[in-house]
Amino acid sequence: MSPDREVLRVEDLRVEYVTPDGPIKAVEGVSFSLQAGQRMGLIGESGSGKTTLGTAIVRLLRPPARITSGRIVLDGHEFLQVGERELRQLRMREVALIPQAAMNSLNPVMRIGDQIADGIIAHAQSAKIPRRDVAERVARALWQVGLQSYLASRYPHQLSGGQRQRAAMAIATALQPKIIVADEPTSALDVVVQRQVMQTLGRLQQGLHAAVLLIGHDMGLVAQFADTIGVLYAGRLVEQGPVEDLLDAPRHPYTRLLIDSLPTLDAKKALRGIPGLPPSLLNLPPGCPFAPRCPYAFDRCRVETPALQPVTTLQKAACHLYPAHTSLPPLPERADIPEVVAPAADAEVAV
Amino acid sequence: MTPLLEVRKASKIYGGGLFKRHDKTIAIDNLSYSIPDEKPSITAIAGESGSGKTTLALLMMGFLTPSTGQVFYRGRDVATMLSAERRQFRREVQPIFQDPYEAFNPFYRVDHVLETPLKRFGLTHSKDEARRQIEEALERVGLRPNETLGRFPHQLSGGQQQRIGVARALLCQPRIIVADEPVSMVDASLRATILASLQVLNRDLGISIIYITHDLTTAYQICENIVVLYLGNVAEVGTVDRVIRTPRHPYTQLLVSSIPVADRRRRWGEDSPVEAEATSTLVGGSVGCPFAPRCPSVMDICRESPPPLFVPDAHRAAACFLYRDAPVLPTADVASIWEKEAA
Repeated sequence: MSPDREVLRVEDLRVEYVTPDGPIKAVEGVSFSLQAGQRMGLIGESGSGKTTLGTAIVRLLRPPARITSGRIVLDGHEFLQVGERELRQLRMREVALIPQAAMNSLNPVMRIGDQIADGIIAHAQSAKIPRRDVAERVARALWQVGLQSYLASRYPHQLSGGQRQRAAMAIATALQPKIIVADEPTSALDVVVQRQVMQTLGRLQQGLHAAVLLIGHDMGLVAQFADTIGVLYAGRLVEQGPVEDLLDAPRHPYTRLLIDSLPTLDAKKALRGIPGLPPSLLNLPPGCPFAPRCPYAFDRCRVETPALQPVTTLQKAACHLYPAHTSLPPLPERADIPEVVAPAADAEVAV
Repeated sequence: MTPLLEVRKASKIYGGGLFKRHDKTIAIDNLSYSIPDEKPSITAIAGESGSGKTTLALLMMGFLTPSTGQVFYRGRDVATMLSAERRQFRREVQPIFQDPYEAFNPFYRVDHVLETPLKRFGLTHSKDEARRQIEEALERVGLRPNETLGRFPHQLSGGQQQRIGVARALLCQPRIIVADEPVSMVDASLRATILASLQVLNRDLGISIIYITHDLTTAYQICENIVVLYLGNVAEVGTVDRVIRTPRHPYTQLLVSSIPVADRRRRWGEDSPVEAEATSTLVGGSVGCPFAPRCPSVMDICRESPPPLFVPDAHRAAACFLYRDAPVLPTADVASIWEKEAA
């Protein structure tokens, strides 16, 4: 297996939620690719479409969400074209989802081992696999996530939060998938447990030489885990690049302000957030979706939507400052940017 | 001088009912803490889930009664207050809740939530005056009255709703605000504005803030002092500069080293040898240091008796026998560690 073999390619993917008021464009023309063994972080605030994108990649979207256009190529398979039968075989074997709040998705009245065995049996090539083989594979799935095999006979309530989260990871990865989509795998866990779970995911990824798409809102967490980061805003990828480059020299104004708003342990500084609010994805006006909150915005930003373009060899940004600039100019004096109040019925796009 | 609020040797024990006599959980274990009257402070109470931080907050606000010990407000025991005193206590000690999406009645406009305390506590004389007070409070927390009033909660973002919560507390003219994880449900870009508004209330209006959190980074940014709880006991206490930048207690060290920093030059180290989770809650009759079962530096003495708070350097105390050569904190009140500074 060559290390840079492409296992996932997403091309111009669009996802809409159908609502009585019109379509909500939750994912709007997202393209990226992942190589075997690569760890990509996808960062965005609530309503940015990150969970919708992750769910679309495993084709688990439910109405009213629908993929309207684009391609997803999974290790050579045209994933959006395959039929239901083949889809069920590809899921878990090729691509696995560790869902949000996975620890609460366990069946409370079923032993952990049986829940892992479920997926193994359902995906068996032959009609019947010997019970001993199943038990062995359950034990291996648990071992992969650092849990001891005796936990197979336990019920979820007998496990701690961190153990439950890792058990859910064992279920998702029992078939040794090539791509793991992990949607906020540590939300609601304490900081020490969070670190342990992320390190488990890292070891699992290395053992399987899998590609990981880590979805999250915590820049620190994503930075600790991923090699590259994609920043999602209003359903669009607005910046993408290696973690170090993106943190040291963010090119998109949104990324800059997001990094500035992170509290650090280095020095006490005046806390500042990003003025305004994310836009409603219903009837998004033309232009850059970040323009109303952007301290750099100029006339062109309000009429023409910027495309994701290369800024350096490895870093891309969707911003009209480029290619005229090579890096983000110093932040202009922050004029009083009006606090945008969300229009009625916007609330949050269901994620 | 009498402290404004004082928690004196308070314990809170849950469970242990008729059928589960041996199934007690000690949420807060013999804790003493005070907020001075003269100097407004901003203090973090930090810990993981199950550390007792929310229980301590509820005790301070009088929503829970301690199992043993007492809570005093202006020198009066909260449990036995008369109704007039209780009204003053209720007005002057204000909560801000964790989840703004659940704190508001969805059927009322936000105006209702702001007008009610003014009427309830008789803080206003006319409609116009009420309106002016409300607008002033909204502006203090960085909201524009004309864009906020008249709206329903679902028309506002989580960050705006949470700031309405701060404005509501502010209208009561409180002396103390107890904020329980006020930003954990809010996106990163909006967190800063809410925390900044708490700082403004502390600095400009002299309101003491108790900030309950599991997030040491925000605690470091906005607070002066911190109390780190572990299974209902104080592990470490002191100024944030001491406790967070140079933690002494092995538990605080574990917490600080687990924070994911958005900086690749400071990666998480390898797996720490420490167990990631407390395997048991503190039950009645346990001896020794509550952290001993997970502690990488555990000694025999740690399993024999609970460590007192040692004072290894100024403005900080750690409940750990590693510092047993240092003097012991002379008073039970853990806040005395930073009050000396003010004196």
